[in-house]
Amino acid sequence: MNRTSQQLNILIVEDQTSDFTALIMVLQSLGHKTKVCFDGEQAMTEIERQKIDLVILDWNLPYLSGEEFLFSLEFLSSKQSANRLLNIILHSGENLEEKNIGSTHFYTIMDIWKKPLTAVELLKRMKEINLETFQEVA
Amino acid sequence: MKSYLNKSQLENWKEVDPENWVTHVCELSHVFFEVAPVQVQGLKQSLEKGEVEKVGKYAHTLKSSCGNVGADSARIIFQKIEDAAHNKDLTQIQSLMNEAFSLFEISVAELKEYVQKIQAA
Repeated sequence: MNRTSQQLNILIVEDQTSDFTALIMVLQSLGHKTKVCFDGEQAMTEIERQKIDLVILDWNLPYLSGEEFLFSLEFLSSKQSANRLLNIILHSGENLEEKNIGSTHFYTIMDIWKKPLTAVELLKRMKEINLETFQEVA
Repeated sequence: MKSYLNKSQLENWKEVDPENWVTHVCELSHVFFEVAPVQVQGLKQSLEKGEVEKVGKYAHTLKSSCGNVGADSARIIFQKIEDAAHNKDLTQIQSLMNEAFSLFEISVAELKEYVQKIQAA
């Protein structure tokens, strides 16, 4: 599959309706499949249930925050198999660049998006993602 | 007359999906009309109870909601309220509230008008 036609299975972890609505519209316009989870707990269940190419993760989530979600991923990955490397985009109103959140053996932080992004910015940032990464992981 | 709505941001949707941009803008706006007033109400009630942390959370959410529909002036003032809540500065929050609610109401009215206009076009 080439870079322009590759359809990704994208999990949006976001509790704000206006934020996930805009994300769904942009991602679907690029031909990707989307699923929304409203908190980190739901997202963990979804990740165990199906293969996800990319997670767009809000940082300020109820029940299980973005930070706790990343921590839980390490536990899930070590418990299950080594090839569960997840690709993640962090999406937050906070300035996460300052937190120095990096990739680990269990997940790759592909980008950090600062809210609010306009539709065009979302589209541009999404197009900048290297889709070849997903073929390697798959 | 000064506009408090960044229409060019809404019209950006033409670049994302030229055929369906009106539908997208209308859908986003309807989400905003439904959700944002509830968040504003939550912000007011939290302030009345002196719950600064909750004020910060509501302001954070409203900042994002307003940003998604081009309500930039409202977005900026909710950002200021969020920052004041982070500093636990109730005096500063109270001094911003009237302007915030006013900008929010104007933004909602302008957005409604804009949505009607693009739907009719």
